[in-house]
Amino acid sequence: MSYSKKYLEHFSSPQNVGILDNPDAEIEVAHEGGGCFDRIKMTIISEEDIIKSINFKARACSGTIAAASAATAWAVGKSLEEALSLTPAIIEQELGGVPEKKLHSVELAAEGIRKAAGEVLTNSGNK
Amino acid sequence: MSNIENKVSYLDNGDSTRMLPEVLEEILPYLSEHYGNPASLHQFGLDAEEAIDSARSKLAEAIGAKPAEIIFTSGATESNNLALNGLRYQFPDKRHLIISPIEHASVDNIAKRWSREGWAEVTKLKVNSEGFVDPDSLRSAIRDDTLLVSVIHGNMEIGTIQNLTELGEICREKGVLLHSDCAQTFGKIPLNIGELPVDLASFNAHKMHGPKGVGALYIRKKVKVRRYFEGSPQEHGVRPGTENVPGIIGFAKAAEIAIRDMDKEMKRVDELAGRLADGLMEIEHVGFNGPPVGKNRLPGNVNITFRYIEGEAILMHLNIKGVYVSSGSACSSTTLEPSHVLTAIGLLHEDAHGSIRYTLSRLNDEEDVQRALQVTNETVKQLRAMTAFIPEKHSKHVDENAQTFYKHKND
Repeated sequence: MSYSKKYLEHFSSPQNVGILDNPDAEIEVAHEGGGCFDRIKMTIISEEDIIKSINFKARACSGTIAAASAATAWAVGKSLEEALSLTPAIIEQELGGVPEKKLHSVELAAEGIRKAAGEVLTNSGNK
Repeated sequence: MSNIENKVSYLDNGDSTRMLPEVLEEILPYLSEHYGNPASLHQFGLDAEEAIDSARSKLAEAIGAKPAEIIFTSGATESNNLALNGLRYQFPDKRHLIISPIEHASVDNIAKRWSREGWAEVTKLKVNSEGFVDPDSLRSAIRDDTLLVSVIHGNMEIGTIQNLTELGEICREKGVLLHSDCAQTFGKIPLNIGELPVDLASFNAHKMHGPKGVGALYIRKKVKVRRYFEGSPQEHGVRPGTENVPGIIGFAKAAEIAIRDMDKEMKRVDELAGRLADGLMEIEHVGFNGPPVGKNRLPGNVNITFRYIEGEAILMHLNIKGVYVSSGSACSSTTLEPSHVLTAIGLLHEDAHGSIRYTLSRLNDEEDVQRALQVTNETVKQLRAMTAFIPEKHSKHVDENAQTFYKHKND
């Protein structure tokens, strides 16, 4: 299948690329299994349980770059609790659909957001 | 940038090529008024039979074979299947197969299947970091029950052209048949199969500006191959089914043109490939895969590893910018496995993932090279700015081949 317009936009001009200074949490996720080496690093800053900024860097294929862009764009303004419930299907929808072989990308990006939000909550719980 | 925008540079000629207008012109009557079945006994049938016989003679001449040694098929994949399965059915007691680790998927997957089904034991030969088969590993692999040795002539990814004379002589000495997939070499380098110690060879048309869906299997006289699917006795009873007459006509024409223009066109294509390779090797953190351009390498083939980024993402950026290439990255395959060719020559998975193959043809020019260099540079810069992961490990072979590349440049 062809890639959707949104997929190509997120891939060719990804949003929220970079590393935030003094983040509340910094996480990494990597695709496990198969020969794929996609990896995403995310940094997140929240204020009163609302995600203010979340940035990513990635060594990844087009799908994971597009998914990380769409996922971080979705997450900004959401509560940490909401972010914990992010599913791959939501990112898939944000991208206007993805080919089957890119399902690992939306799964990885969703895992990244959940892990980042979870880490902030854990850290704040420890304070 | 502006003057070269909105154009496409097709640099994926290793996958398929554009049909030449002369070939199309030759085919058209066989898609309309000349529609007879070569097996029919009336005039239309006789005309079609004569047309494919003439094409068979032309093709035989082009590869230095006899017309009776050419079987038309649907392409090199079918030819490979016919060669291997045809021999399997002919010699059911021979249960050992030898292949190189850098075969096309058709041969590689037959070997996997035979092994899985318990039909045959498979030995994969050793290749060096440029993809050349180690002759000693061949010599020691051959056994009494070896059915066949199958070694691809020109590798589709890294362009390595094997020394079939050397490998074939070892096979002859040991009394074992040699098959070679010549899909990538035919029409690009001089090929006289009749004089080579090769018993079966696969060919196709669409890698040399001919039509898709047509190929051939060369079977040396006296080598017996049994058909592996049933039907009427077309193609000496080896390959049933009505022949693809328009395809066969186009195949012969494409071969004729490729050979007629080979010296001039392939020299030019390799000069372009050389400039492309030189330009790409100036980018930081890259590796050159396969033998140096012009040294036992398919004309027009350039394969580069761009470290720390992913090949599929490079490919997609190039695609958006109108440069069409292919990649050995896992993410560009449906199985998410990296190229078996690149891992066989010693690349780590990380490096195989960042590889891009550019394959030029006679229809490319200097503008294509400049566009490819420009957009690859931009893309690599953009993707590297996005990566936070600089692995410590590299493929030794990438470095070694890069050194060979520079050494060759200074020769």
